[in-house]
Amino acid sequence: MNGRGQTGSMLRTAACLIAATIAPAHAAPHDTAAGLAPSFRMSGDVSAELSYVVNSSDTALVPGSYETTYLSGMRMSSLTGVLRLNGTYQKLDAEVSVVGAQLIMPPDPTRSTQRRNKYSFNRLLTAYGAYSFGDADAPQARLSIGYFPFSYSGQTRSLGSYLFRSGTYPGYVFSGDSTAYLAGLHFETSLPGILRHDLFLTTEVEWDPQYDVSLSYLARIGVDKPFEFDAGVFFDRLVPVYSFKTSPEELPHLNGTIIEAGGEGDTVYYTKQGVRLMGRFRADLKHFFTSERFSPQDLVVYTEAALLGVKNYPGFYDDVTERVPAMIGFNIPTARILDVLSVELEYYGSPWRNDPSHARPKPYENYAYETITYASEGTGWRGTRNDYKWHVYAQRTLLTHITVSARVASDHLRGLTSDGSIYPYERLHGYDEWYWSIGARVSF
Amino acid sequence: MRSVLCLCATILGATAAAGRAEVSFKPHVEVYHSVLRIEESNEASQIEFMNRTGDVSYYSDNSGAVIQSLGGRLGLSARFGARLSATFTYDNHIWHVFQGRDMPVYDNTEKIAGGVHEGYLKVALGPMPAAPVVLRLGYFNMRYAPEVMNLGEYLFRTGVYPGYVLSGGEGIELLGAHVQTTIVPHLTQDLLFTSEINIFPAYDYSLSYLARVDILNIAEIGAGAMLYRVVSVREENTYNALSYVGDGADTTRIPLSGNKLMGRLVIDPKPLFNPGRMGPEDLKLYCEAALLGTKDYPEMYEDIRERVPVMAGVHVPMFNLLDVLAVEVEWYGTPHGCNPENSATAVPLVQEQFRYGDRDDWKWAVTATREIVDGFEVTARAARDHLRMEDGNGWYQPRELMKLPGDWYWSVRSSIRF
Repeated sequence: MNGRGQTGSMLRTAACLIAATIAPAHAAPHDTAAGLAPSFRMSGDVSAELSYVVNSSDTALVPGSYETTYLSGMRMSSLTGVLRLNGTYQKLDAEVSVVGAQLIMPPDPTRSTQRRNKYSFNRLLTAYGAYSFGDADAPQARLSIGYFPFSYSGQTRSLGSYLFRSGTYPGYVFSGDSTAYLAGLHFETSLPGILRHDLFLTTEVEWDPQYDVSLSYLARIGVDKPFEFDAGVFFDRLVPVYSFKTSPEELPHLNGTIIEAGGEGDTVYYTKQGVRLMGRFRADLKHFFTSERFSPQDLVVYTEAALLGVKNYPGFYDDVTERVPAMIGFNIPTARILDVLSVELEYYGSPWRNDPSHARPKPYENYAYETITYASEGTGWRGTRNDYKWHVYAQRTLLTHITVSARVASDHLRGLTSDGSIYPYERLHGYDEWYWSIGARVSF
Repeated sequence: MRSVLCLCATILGATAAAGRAEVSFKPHVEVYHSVLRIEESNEASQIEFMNRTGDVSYYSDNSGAVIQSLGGRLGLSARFGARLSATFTYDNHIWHVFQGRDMPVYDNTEKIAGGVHEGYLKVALGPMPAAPVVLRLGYFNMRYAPEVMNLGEYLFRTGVYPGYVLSGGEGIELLGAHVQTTIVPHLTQDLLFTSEINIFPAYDYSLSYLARVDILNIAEIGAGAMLYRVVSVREENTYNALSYVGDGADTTRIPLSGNKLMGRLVIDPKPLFNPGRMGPEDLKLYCEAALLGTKDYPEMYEDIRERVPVMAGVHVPMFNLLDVLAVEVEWYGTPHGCNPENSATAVPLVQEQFRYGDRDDWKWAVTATREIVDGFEVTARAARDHLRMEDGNGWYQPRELMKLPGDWYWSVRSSIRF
């Protein structure tokens, strides 16, 4: 896209933004509830977690060194506090929350002398406003703008929630809390009542190339019912802001590294733009039993799959099955001893490195996966042994506001950076590489 | 001295009374998002950045660069009785640096910035409820020309030797003490004793005085003076060894301190006729000028006209379609770089002297704002002003991005606040 095209796309984005914000003005004249004072609610939580990496083959990046045991036996810990302020004024509401933390994370393997990373940070967690259409107490629709959390799979303890926690070309996925933090617009409504619609216009604020605008839609049937079906589509980077990074064939100094020959002399230009699809099913099997020995989350089974890029490209993206992460989870009954005991399993057969910071649409071709200048040479030993992930999680509420939890997992463990951002590189590279953690949380 | 003692005694009295008073709290919250696109900038390409391999590189082309900021503020005001209150606001936001074509593709440009946005104690003195004297102590926002939407408010948004000018629509945060009085009808007076916390050398103290007189709600005339860095914390910094011009016996030392003067005029002719459906801000005309350093120095600061920024603005009548549509222009004829840091010397940096000649003297800004619903405001701007990137610590990087006549950007900012 040339400069004029970029200008046009940005202007269109701005126009959409303005149009979306002007619309409520007609729905709610200023004098709708004149004289009402804003109301506020403050909340927060404090949590602590201790983790121990039992086995990891994460490779140190020290030049000339291929140590693979530096992370095994490493402890990680976090002490985190969240402060949240909600305000409501007429049909508007706003939330700002910040998080502060003190962390000990795995060392940066690029620093040969560093054995441990200790740091503290504070950062924005949410900042959004929302306008409710219709009756303020039972709104027919709601429009949110800003930096907001969203989760469509509350049962997920680590694996899944792919629609908003993944990327395309090359595909990547995350694990951890099911909540995604999105920047942009979110319109939600239920029409008819059993069918819930969520429409998003979001901008990329975390991973390169930044600011690209994506459009996504999620439909859910049976939310809060025994059986739920979800389906979603995500037009990733639909409107690129820096097209020379999103579709970098025009980037002269990167020619020859991004562009890959597709054989027979054909040249294939990859792009980070793509379409993601997601399907999910949840069943609460307690519906078939009548027993008071089940806790509310027991006997829930949930499964999800996604396609990270519907389009095949020759060279590195020939096989659609390599772009499909799929997971299944089950909450094992514990006779109310625990709130939840969940077991989750994931398969993601991508041979490429699971790296959201990789700004090129061509897969990573570095140390961890060996050189893959030619796709036919394969991706190295890590490309084939990290397809399965697993996660076991237990949680118990001790008092009304205190919960304790424990987990044993081989998931997409990454850790955080010094400013609270997600460290981009995975730390575990096989189903036999795992860690455990224990934690406690106090909410108020 | 007696007046100071009386003032202290009154404050202590108010504080003591507050100790016995009931405490009430009032939260406030703000969510904001802004997107800015540089349509043309020659200066941006001169900004250095350290690439991944540790080498210094330059952005080759930032025309078309986008900067987005997304953040929130949460705060609490505590009122201790009728006279004493305290306000604290915390800001945290996500922002980004440029994405240029030459930037390493592995660089993630997301930045996190958080900190105190304001935190001050407020004391009302004199007969209540409309106390004629109000004292603020701490870190507070200062605006004396609320009609200004971008250019102007020079007294606190400038520096001397070399002079520099800031722009923007949110005033400026100052650290120190501020006394405002309305004892004389139609006359508002401000006295400030503030500490420099953004520009090296830090902590120097400045004394400022402003007066504004209202004439029949038709005109407002304002004037002010600032003794900038009148109290130096470390004289070897304020009068540093780098700030000399001349040779031998003709050597002249130029301090980083100096005196600033400001005058402004606002005319609102609406009371002279039936304004019909005009909004309260429509048709306001305003102008402001300042002298950034009253003293001439040889070689670098010989021409007083080069130290005078002057601006004029008008709120175009929009008949309530918009709250404000402001058109502002500014002329500032300094031949030096408009650089607040300037390597901490009063002698303008060699590479910035005369670089643009008089081609960067003119600035302009068009700003439109509208409150869509109560608490939700959208502001749009197109400008060639003193745009600078933020530095992540509540201040700005020193170099301006809009220099040459063709340079300009646009931005849209939305905020929800109550």
